[in-house]
Amino acid sequence: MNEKYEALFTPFKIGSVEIPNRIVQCSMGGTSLFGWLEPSHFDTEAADFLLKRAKDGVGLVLPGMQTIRDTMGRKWLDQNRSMYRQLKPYMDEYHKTGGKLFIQLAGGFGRSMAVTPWMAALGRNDLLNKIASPIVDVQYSCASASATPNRWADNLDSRPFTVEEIQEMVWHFGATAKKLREAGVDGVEIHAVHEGYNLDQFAIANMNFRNDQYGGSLENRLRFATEIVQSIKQQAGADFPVSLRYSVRSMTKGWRKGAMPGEDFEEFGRDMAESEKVVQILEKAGYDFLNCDNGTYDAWYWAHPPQYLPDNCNLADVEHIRQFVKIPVACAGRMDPVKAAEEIAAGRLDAMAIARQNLVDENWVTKIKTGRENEIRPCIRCHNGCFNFSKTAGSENMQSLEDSLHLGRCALNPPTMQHKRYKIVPTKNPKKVAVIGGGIGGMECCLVLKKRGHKPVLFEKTGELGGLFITASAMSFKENDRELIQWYKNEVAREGIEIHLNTEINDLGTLRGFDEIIVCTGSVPRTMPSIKGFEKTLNFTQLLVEKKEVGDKVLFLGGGQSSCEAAYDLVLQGKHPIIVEYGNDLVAAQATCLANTSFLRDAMEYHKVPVYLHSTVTEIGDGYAMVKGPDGSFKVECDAVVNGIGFVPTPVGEKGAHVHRVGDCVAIGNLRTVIWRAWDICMRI
Amino acid sequence: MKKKVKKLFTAAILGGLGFLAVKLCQRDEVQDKLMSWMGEDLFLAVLSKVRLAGDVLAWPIHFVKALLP
Repeated sequence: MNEKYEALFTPFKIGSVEIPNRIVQCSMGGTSLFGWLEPSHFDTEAADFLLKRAKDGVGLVLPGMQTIRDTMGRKWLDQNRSMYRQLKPYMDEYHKTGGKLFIQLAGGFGRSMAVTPWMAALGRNDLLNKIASPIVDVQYSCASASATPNRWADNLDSRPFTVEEIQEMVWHFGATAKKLREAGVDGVEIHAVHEGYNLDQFAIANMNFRNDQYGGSLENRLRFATEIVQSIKQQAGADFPVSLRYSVRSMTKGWRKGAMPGEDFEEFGRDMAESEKVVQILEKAGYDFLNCDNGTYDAWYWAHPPQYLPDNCNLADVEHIRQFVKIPVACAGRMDPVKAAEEIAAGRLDAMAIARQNLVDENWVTKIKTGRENEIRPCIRCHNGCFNFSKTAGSENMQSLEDSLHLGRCALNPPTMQHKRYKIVPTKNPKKVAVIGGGIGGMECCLVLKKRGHKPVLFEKTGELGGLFITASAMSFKENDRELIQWYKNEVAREGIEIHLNTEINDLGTLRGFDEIIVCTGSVPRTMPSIKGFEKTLNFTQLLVEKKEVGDKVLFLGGGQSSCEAAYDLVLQGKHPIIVEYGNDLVAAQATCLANTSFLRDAMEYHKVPVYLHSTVTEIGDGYAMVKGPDGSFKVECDAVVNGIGFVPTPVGEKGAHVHRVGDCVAIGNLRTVIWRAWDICMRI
Repeated sequence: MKKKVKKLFTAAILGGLGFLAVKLCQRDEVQDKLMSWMGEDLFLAVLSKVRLAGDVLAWPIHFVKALLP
């Protein structure tokens, strides 16, 4: 084993249970062992996924959070006897791996419940909610400490929980933990005085206005969380380990407003001084382990860091809080295994919590253990497959129903949490397949085809593999994207794929001797010649890859994700971007996680980037652009204008029975649409 | 009574045929054929809707199963 990881592979104890190493897989919505937003049941897909992680060597696995009462169907988790009967043999099998498993039990979402438009409509109407309540009770699902505004839906306040409801829930935590212990589960984690979920809303003074025993003083605000651990210890046994998912600092400036890295701000949620007292109260109450990071749903990017945040972004705060307790502490949030091992060896941290890397590469623990780090497919923190709750100004959660039901999948690795749908089946009829275009779609096609036993041949018109993703990965903070391109290059080389660089195919008829053709020719920037002076605009490749001189003030025509990311990159260089967007919000895209988009929106505001919404550019001249907004036209001085109005597909040739298309040449999407379609097509060749 | 039995019998036959059709469509070779007939775009769009319908149908099934002793 590589010495730098040695500390990661040492055992530690949570209460009475020994965890074989310091690697903790955090809970991820969708990977729940008892179903996700469904009536509780033993979920075989999640069971398969979690068992594979344990076999890879994850020391402690936490399946996706499980509400103590079903969101759909309203049954308490301890009421489904058949589920526990199925769980017992599974745990016997699981323990053969040597790993441990804690179930994460959730006290609800409160105001963080990611309501969709139909749920918001129910929640706002007492009569409709009452009628629907035997199946789904939105008002109960959104209930919180006090009447606070929902994170996702405007004009929807949480209703306060009654004392009876709280005490009923506390009892069911204990009853569920008892059943889990009897079924062989090693412990539970309470979800959560963390991320602005329900128990966190009770704990934070600005979200809890109660004047009963659950509001007011810090002890009262933590009473819900402390009664839960006491109920569990009483019903499941004092030696049954109970972990707590905990946010050290809320990093929140107000409702729906997060704090930027390094920002000096007044904390709206829990600050460090209060946190130092909180952890001592919780330890005294009986919690055995703190699984920590930062953030709330209002500052969501701290709990689910996109690439814009640095590695180990929560480590300093977590290590600080560890000094105030004797129980072990884990840290989550873009954790680098090398740094984590150093901190554990130095006695400043007890465990490293990593979530989404476990979705992308099912063998990453084995790979670091055996010194094969360059074979690890990196997580790019896009959240497109695993966590794509999305929201723009005035909307509720825009996630599709299909995605709502299937969180915890992976944009880069389709078999994750859908292993029966996406699988490599060796072909009985090997074919020679021409793949045109060496972007991510083309390379993924080659890898899938090769693994199935076909002979793919890749044609790329430039001298480099990566396609348009080279441009997307060129920003300073996109190191994971660059690692992903390198991973693809390594894999196609390792698989011995035949590659023809600098070979442009414009006529499919020139391809002789191939049984099938897959066109992955991507897209080109959309143009808008109706704008006077449009020819002066630069595209993203010219800005980011060719690094054309753009001066100080750069105006982006369009406020989508690419524009905002490029603008943020310019901000980091000390330049002054300006954004003109036709719509009512920046990054107004479905399926892009609010953790990612809210960072970009908050960053633009914090860095005082001028953003003109409901506006268009009508003319581009030397040193200026004319902008037409709701209040008329005005001149904006700028040194360069970047075309951020999107892309158009550029397929080659006609489709046919043996000619397929994959990626942006079909429709503009993201890596998930590209990679999943590559599998959809290549599994059927 | 006779009518009721007839209706139940018809429902059972239709249910059985539906079940067989679903099982058949789950086979890789059947999916390959369907894709070549329908074209890949239509096939993938239909497949995604069918899967969603299956997911939603699973809700009442899980609910009823949980009520069983």
